[in-house]
This record gives sequence, C-alpha cells and structure tokens, in this order.
Amino acid sequence: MPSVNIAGQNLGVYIQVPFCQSKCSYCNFSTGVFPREIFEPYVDAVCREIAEHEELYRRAGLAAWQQQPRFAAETIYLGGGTPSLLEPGDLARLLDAVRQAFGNAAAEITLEADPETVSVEKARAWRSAGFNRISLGVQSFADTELKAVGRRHRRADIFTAIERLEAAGLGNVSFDLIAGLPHQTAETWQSSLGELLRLKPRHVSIYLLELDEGSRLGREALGGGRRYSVPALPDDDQAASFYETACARLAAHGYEHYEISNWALPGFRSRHNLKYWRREPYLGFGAGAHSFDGGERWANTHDPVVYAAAMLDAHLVLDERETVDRGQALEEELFLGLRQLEGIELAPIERRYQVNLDERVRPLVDEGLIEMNEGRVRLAPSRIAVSNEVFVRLLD
Amino acid sequence: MDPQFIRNFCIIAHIDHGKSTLADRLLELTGTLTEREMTAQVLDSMELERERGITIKAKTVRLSYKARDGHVYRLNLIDTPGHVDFSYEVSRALQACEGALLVIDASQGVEAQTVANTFLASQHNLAIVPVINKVDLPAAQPEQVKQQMEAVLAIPSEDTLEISAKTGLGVPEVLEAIVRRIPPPAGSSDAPLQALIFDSWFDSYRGAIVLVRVTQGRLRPRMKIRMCGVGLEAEVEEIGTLVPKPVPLDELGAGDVGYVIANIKRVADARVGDTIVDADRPAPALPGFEAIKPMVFAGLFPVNSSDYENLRDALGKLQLNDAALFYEPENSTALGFGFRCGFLGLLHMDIVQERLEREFNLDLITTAPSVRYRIGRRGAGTVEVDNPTKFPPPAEIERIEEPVLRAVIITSDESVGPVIQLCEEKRGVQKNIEYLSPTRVMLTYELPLNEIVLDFYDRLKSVSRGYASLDYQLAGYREADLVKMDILVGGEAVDALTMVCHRDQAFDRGRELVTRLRKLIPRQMFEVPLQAAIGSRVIARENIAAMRKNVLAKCYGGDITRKRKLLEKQKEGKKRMKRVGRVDIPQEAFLAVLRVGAGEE
Repeated sequence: MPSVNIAGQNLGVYIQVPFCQSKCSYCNFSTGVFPREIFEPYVDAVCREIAEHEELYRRAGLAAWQQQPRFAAETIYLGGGTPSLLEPGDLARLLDAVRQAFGNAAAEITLEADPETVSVEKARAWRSAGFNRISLGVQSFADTELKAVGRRHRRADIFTAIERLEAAGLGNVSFDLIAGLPHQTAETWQSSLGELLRLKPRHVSIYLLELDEGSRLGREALGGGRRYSVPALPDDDQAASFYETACARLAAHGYEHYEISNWALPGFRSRHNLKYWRREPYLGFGAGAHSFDGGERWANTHDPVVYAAAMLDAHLVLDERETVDRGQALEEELFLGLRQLEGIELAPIERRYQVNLDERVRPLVDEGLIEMNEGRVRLAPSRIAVSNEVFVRLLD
Repeated sequence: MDPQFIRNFCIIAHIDHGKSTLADRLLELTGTLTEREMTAQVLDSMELERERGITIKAKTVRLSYKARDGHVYRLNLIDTPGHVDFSYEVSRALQACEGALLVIDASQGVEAQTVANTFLASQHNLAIVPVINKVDLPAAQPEQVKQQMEAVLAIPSEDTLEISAKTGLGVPEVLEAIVRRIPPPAGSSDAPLQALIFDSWFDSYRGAIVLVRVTQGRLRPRMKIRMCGVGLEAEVEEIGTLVPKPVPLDELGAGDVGYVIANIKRVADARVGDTIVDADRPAPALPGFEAIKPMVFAGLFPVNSSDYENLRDALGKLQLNDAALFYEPENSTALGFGFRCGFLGLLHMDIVQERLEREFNLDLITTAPSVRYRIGRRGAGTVEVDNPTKFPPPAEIERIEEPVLRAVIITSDESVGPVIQLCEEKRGVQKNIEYLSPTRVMLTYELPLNEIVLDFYDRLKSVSRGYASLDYQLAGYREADLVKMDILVGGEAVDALTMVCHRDQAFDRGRELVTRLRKLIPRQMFEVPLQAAIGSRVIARENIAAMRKNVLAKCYGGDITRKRKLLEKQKEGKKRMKRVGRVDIPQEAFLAVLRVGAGEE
C-alpha cells in the first residue's frame, strides 16, 4: 500500500469511555460495568495515549505516526459506554489532552450522555470544559420499553435532562431513538416520535435494533428463548414500518435525512460522523477505540484493564489491524458513500481508482435500487431500509 | 485337489446376527490364522477396506480343515454383501457356492433379511445349514426361534445347530456340518474353462483383481482368457487364493475359488456375473449375466460451478472401482452443470455422495432421488425416463409404468397398525400378512420404488420404534396414475424441484412443498410467488413477501471493518445460493423435496 498522506486534513478524534452503570440487553458493544475506582486511572491512560500517540504508533509500527505536519482536530467525540458517568474534571482533562496534541480549533465537541446522568452542575461543567454538542441516549419515550431493555432512565428524566442542558447553554442536542425495541407498537412509536418532535432536537439518530450474537437480547432471540422480553419484540416488518414512519414525520418537520440513520435541522449535521462515511481520517483513543488514517484501520484492545496496563508500559495492544487494499477502499467508497442519502459523484471515484463503475452500477439502477442523475448516484429512497442488499451487490 | 474334498459356502444372516464373529471363529479354529495374526489381519483388511471403499462386495478366504473322517478339506468361505442394493452381487456370490450357513440370533429370531436371504439361497439350490447364534445370552430363546424357522422358512428343527460364535460353543459342529451337509462341487477340470466372476476390485498397481469360482476346467497363468459378456480378452498374469492374504498358485481347478489378475484396466471389464473362458477353447457362458441396471437416479451438482471438472474427475475415479456407478452430464437451469447419476440403491447413492464429499473434497447439491419410469407415448412407442424434467408433455402420455418392489417387513404386533398405515400411504399393495409368533408379524407388500427412495426406511424405523426390519427386491413394473409436478419460483419452473408423484397425492405434496419452500427461501427485494403446478394447472400457491429490513444502522465509533465484514458475510451467503431468474434459492430448498410426504416434522 502506498503511504497515504493525509497531513493537513482535518482530523476527527474519538475517545472511548467503555463504562456503564448497567448493561442494556440489546448492547452488542464491548462496554461493561466497572468499579468507579478504575475511572481515574483509565482517564490517565487515555491522556497518556493522546499525548504520546506518535511514539506509541511508531512502536506499534503504524504509519500514522509519520504525519507531518501534525494532525489538527476538527471534531472531538466522546462516546461509550456512558462517558457522562465520568467526573467533569476527568472529561476536561481528556479535552485538554486533545487540545495539547491536536490544536485548539475543534469546532464540534460531542459528549454522549444518558438522561439520568445529567445534573445541573455536570451540565455546566461540560459546557465550560468546551463541549458544545450532547448526544442524548433517549432510545424511547415509553417506560415499558425502557424498562424492558434495562435502561436506567425513564421518560420523565428526558425532559429534566433537556431543561438542564438548555439552562447550561447546551442547546445543541442530538437524540437517539431505537426502532424495534420489545413492547414497541405502532402507537408507542408514534408517541415517542411525537414527543421528540415537540422537543425538536437539532439532530436525530434512529437505529434499527440489531439482533445478533453480540447482545444478551440477540442471543436469546436467535436461540429461540423467551427472556429479556423476546416475545414482545416487534417483527422485522413492524420495525421497518417504524423506520418509514420516522422518515415521513421527520421530513415533515423540517429535518434533513442526510444519512441512513441520521437526520438534522439545517446546519446541524454531525461533522464527526460524516468523517466515517467520507473516509476521512479519525484517531480513536481508549479501550476498543477504532482509528483510520486513510490507509490503515486499527482498533485498541477492548479490555480497559489490559488497555490501561499497556499504557503504563507505554505500548499499544491492538485487537484488529488491517491495511485497506485498493479494492476494499473502492468498495468502502461505495457502501459508505451511499449511506449519505444525497449520494456520491462517480467520476472522481472512477478517476481516483482508475475503474469504470458502469458495469457495477448499471444493473442496480435498472432494478430501481439506486438512482443516477448526471453522474451522481444515490440509494433509491424506497430502498433505504434494505440498503445492505444494495451494498452487497456493489462488493466485488 | 479332488473336488470331493472342496466345499464352497457362504454365511447369510440379518445384520448384527453374528456373521463376522462366526467367520472369525472359523478362521481361528481351522488354524488359518492364529489369534495374533487375526488382530493383524483385521487391521490389514480395514486398511484395504478403506482403500477399496464400497467395492468390497464379497471377500473370500480358503480354510483348511481336517474333518473327523480323517480327510483334509478345503473350505472356501465366500462372504456376501449385507445390503439389498447389492442383491445382484449377492446372487452371484450364492451362485459360486453349494451351501450356506444361515445364522439367526437366538434372541432376535427371524428378521426380514433372514427371510429374503433364505429365499435367495433356496432359489440357488444351496444346501442350508441353519445355525442359531448367541445361545449363551440370557435373552436367548432357541426353541421359539426354531419354531419360527419351521413356520416361516420350512427348516426342520432337528437340523438346527445351536452355537455361540463369541465363546466358540458349538462351532466345531458347524465345521463338521459344512463337510457333511454341503455337497462337493460338480464339474470336471478336464472340460473347457468356465469361471464365474463374483467380485472384482481395482488395484492401482495391478488393475482389476477378479474373484472367480471355477465351474469347470482349469485356470493357469499365461492363459489367454475371454470375458464372455464384455468380450474382452486378456492374458492371465497371476492366479491365487486368499488365506486371507493373497498366495499365488499354479492352477485353479474345477470347483475351486480364487483370484485372477490379468492386466484388466477397469473393473467394468471384469463385471460381476460374467464368465471367464479359455479364449482358444471357449466354453459357453454361464447363465445369469446381467448388465448392471441402476435403480435410483439423482442429479449431482457442485455448489461452486468451478468444481464441475473436479466432479467429473472424481466420478471417473470412483467408476474405475465401481462398475455399478453410472453418470452422464446434466444441465440444470437452477443448479448449473452437473451429472445425472444412476445408483444400485439408496445406500449406494449415499456412499458415492459421501466419498465425493470426503475423499474429493467436493461440496455437492444432490437432487431428490428418482426412479426409471416407462412411458407409453401416443403413437410413439415407449420411452424410459429417469429424470422428472424429461417427462413428455401430459397430452403425449398414454400410460406410465413405475418400478415396484416386493418388500418383506417383519415387525412387532404393536406396530403392525402404523406399519400398514405407512405402506398404504406409500401406495403399497398388501400381498401377505403372517404371524411368525404371537408378537411378530411378517408383512409382504408390493411397493412403488419411488416411494421407497424418499424416506420410507427412516419412517418405517420411526413408526415401529426401531423394531421393523425390511428387505426387498425388484418385482417388475406396474402401471400407475402418475403426474409430473413442477415448482415455479417467481413464475419460473425450477427444474431441480420437479417431482413425479401419484395424481391423488399431488395436491397434498404440492401444498406441503410450497409451504416448506416459503420457510426456506429468504425474502427477496420483491414479492416471490411459489406455485406447484401440473401442466399449466396451479394446484398450490404461497407468497414470499418482499424483504423490508436489512440495514446496518449504527456505526460504533467508526468500526467500519465490522460493517464490511457483515456485508462480505451476506455476500458469501448469497454466493452459496442458486439463482433462478431473479430469485436466490438456498441449497436447503433443494433438499425440501426429499422430505415431502414425510408428514409432520
């Protein structure tokens, strides 16, 4: 692989905080419940990783260390897990470390927060630490649904959290909702959407519940069991209807559907998440964090204890590491690019990869799966919910 | 050796009644093998067996026995295959003998294979030495078994020996009975050569190794011989006997049994049932040589179309050693390029399939087994059709005949109801029902082979809780009101799903099949109708609704690798499916036909 030069590009910085108060039944992410005592040493370790990332990358043989001039962070995103569990002082330390290493210019600094963790004091502290965007794990406005999957907050906590955030000057909030939760019905879904639209967050992410071996709920459902409210799960068709309803209602309220799972009021698209779809570079810090420097993808060990111990010893432990070859890169351009509903220009991609994509794209256009307009292709709006079928066809 | 001191015999028994234990004991008692050698020998022969696979159809071993009359006898033990698929080979092995040991388990009693084998042995005029085995076991009921034998097999009680092959009890009497009750072979060594081939297998160094029974005349090295049926001539390189390892000899005389190696390249040139004669002084061929007729047919298709050539090579290699395997190229719109294969029966099919998958590492889709129908066409004579897709259009068909079997089923009296019900469901015609004892019933049915090839045996075992035993033989052709049923997926007939069934069953089977397929074929991007049709008449219909959800929602902190892997996995899954029109059909769907008519799962 030719070395990629991404210097000067604007970087996304991701920090992973893999701690939760309890594990939700649908969670297929490597997070867990850890004693609070480990929070501080963990933050120390992440600060060290950020500060010494060039040396750590060099030792791990990652090409990213050679970037000159140094990366400048355009976005910072603290995800989890539940990063809002950390002491505000620890969060501030993390942001300081990023500024030290990647400059002061970050325009979008997001913190993921669960509604029940938002206190007046914390909200203020987040604001003064520099966060300017909160991604709130709402998931649903129906208590039955929240309870069934083991969320700790209830409907009332959402309203309280919003009030406190706004009072602290954190009005730029994104809501997460999940379609397909146990006990969800057309009525409860409509009502959750209704509540969301009344609160009118700047940004909305809607996820379709995934049932896979990675979560307790998924394992139970796939294994034919009945625990974790499996019998109350809506089926795929219902979940698809929920998603379609959301598309219609959000559009009617002025939201732009800019990515399969994401909607924003004009001017409030998530700049950080867009980097993933546009194959722009991002560096992830913390246990389980993923990075991409334009040529190589890697992920830190997901185990926070192993991670922190390795940091004490000043070396990285990687779970995954992969050089994206040319063919894979082209595939990514297509299946990541097409997640953005405005679509992609084919000509620049064809030039960059010296390919003719007509043969790959044409049959899908003929079948009505994607639309082509003056060299720009996009997912057909009616096929968004089955987009994997389209992407699979684009793989070589 | 003077033929009057030769005895040629086989052992016939139902499975697990102790045939091989008795054979081992005979080898040991006659000093053919010492106990230590036996262990070694068993290992060797397993090695060989693995190498030879299913073509171990008959083994033979020469025993030397000093009888109580003071003479030394040469006893040729000819082993016979234990499965109805190989009934022709069994009949040729019996043809090579003058007598048979009939072994019956003292607690199990007469079973279906016992009846069928005894019947075959009497057809060949063999002297039968009845032996009740395992009399040492607590559950042994030798008196009742004797009664059954008298009643069912017409074997007088006083002739029956009681033994335990395991402990050796009574086995010396078996050896004496062989000498006294089985007649010596007739035929003169001075007459022109006639030798019956009753087994052959392929050795990669020496070519076909052929087992023969010399009926008259002599076989010697460097003789020029001719295989009458095949017409091939060859020069004998080596002859010998198996004791059980091969020992070369100078001559095989009339009445004797041994092997011949004559630089024959393929087992197909030394076919079981053929007669070897002296090319310079040819005697007439022995009666009973039959061309091998496959009974069961199925399409074998590689899952990956790129494996087609490998499949062809593999079939060619198997055929070197298995003259009964028949194949020709077949092209399916659903499954691509493959081979239509003919087999002696279901076991033979299973074995071939397994060897292709295990030894040649091929991933195969096998279509539902079919039989060979005789179809009378209006004004156009009769055709034989073994592939349902090749059926003439209904308007051209005047009559259809299907192969039927005469099946003997022995079961417990509690299960006789369900067994009869099963036979009726499978279009059987009852020929006889007989109580062997107050708790055991023997049923004789004429059953269509096409019903047997699906799942008859498994279901018989299940409705009788494992009790019933089954044996059958081909009983000719019978006219039946059969129809070809097509399955249409997304409006296109899928040739690999086409089946032939009785008109009265068509509606139920069609409904069952489309219902199964609806569960097996994943939802596609559009609605897919599934139809079962006879000619242009649709008799059952289901719909697979269009897929509505297959989307990757969340991107956890930029984990793109996971997303790509998930898509790649979906892509792999699709690759393993077969595309008909625009519909991707998984392999399991093609196996659904196999289970139709099996009732509830």
